[in-house]
Amino acid sequence: MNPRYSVAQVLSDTGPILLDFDGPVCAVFATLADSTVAAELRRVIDEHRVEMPAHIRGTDDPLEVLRFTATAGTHSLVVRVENALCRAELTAVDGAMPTPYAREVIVAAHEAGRRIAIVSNNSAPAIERYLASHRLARYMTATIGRAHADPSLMKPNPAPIRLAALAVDADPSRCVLVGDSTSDIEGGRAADVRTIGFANKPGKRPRLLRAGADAITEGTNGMAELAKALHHELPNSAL
Amino acid sequence: MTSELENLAGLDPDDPRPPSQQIANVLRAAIRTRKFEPGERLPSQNDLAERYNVARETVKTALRILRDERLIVTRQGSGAFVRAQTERPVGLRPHVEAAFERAHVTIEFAGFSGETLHGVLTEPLDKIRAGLLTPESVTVRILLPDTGEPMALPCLAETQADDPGVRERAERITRRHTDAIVEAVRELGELGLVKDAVAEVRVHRAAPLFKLYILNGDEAFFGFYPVVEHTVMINGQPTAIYDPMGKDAILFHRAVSDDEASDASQYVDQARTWFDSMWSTVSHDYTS
Repeated sequence: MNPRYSVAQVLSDTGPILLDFDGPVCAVFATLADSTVAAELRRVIDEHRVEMPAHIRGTDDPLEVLRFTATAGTHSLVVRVENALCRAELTAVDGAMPTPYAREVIVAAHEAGRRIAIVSNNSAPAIERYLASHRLARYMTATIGRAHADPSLMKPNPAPIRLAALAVDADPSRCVLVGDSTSDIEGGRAADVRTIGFANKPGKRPRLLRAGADAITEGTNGMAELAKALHHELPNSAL
Repeated sequence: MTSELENLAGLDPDDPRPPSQQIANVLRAAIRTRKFEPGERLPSQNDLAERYNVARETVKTALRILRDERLIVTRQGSGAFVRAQTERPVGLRPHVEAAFERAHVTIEFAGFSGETLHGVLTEPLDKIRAGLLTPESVTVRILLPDTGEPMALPCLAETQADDPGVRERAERITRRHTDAIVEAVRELGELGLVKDAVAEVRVHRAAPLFKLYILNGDEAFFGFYPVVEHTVMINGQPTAIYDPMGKDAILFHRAVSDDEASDASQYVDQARTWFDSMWSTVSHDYTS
């Protein structure tokens, strides 16, 4: 199965770029492991003596634990887990690993006059902390983070993506969302934006394609393909 | 308007320079001597074309020269106006060309790549080659950062760290311009067009943060290099770098006056002291 379009085609058909954060911009849990954070969130749930199914007991994904609380606990538990996750993310981003060529995508897009927004299931303060410390905040028109204590609004819900399109002042169909998970692609399609799947790990490509990604870029250096396409739009790209 | 037109000097039929250049010179002089005040509108293109009996395109070219020197602004539909700022940024080019009318010419430059310097030297050097200018000596001294050693700027944006690939790119750009300047000056000496033609390049290990031109030791131009981030191709890969950007820099002009204690005189004196000190202490010959 092949994508319908190339990365360059999708970029040339669109203007503003909506970037998922964890994956396309950096690996959030590179130093502080996601499994550690997931365990910390489970500890909060245990304090409330709420039963957890085996797949929640076993998951390394803190967002999955958060999602679970919305279905199983009281709202006060959701708030507690949400706050614990926000704190952990703020710590995590200080040790986050920049994704190769993510910076080039952002800077070249900015040079090409495109607006850029982050639309992420991570919390906005953590994202903004990362962007500020990497001197990237100035390139962002908006940072749309996770709705506080309301996991149902996380991607694949298209709401945050629509919000990001609104923030960059563009019709969704003129925007392209770059994401590394199926929830990005599904949410993007529901929001009527174009999508580029970043298959940064083996096995992701078919999943992103099945989710309906318009184009795929593959491998740990996959963002370079976007950066090159954007760089070629620049008038002095020969330099 | 008619009287203003009549007050403008005519063109010299023996002047070999193109009419557009001559018209620009006349208008520049009129602006400098305040025949046209800041904010005032220049005569229309049609009136100027009629006054000098040239095509309107020629007038347009003349106005473009003045606009590039930031002496005038042009507004669509309403004409050309003398720039209103009192502290007007002044174009380097006419001053460099005037500097070459002396018997002994010295041009000193400290900065990043020498790209602008190369641009402004081309015309006077061409004129010497064409026999239109005949200085006895020309000395060009160029002071640049050493791209062979780790640099604070330009650098990788993500890590703010030195990178050999980034330096090689800077080296390539620098070399293109300095080689051309050195070559052109030496050629004038070899051809016997200038008795004493010297062009030297020295490099130092400080970061390029500004550019400084000293013309014949009595005029200085200074401009800041803002640091900008942009993507460039390094070894075939897009790379975000922090780069000193001099292209749009406004140059501030100071010229020695009869008053040695004046701010401008002291400025030029200190600029020369700084340049000579860098040249004779922490820099060394730029070898290929």
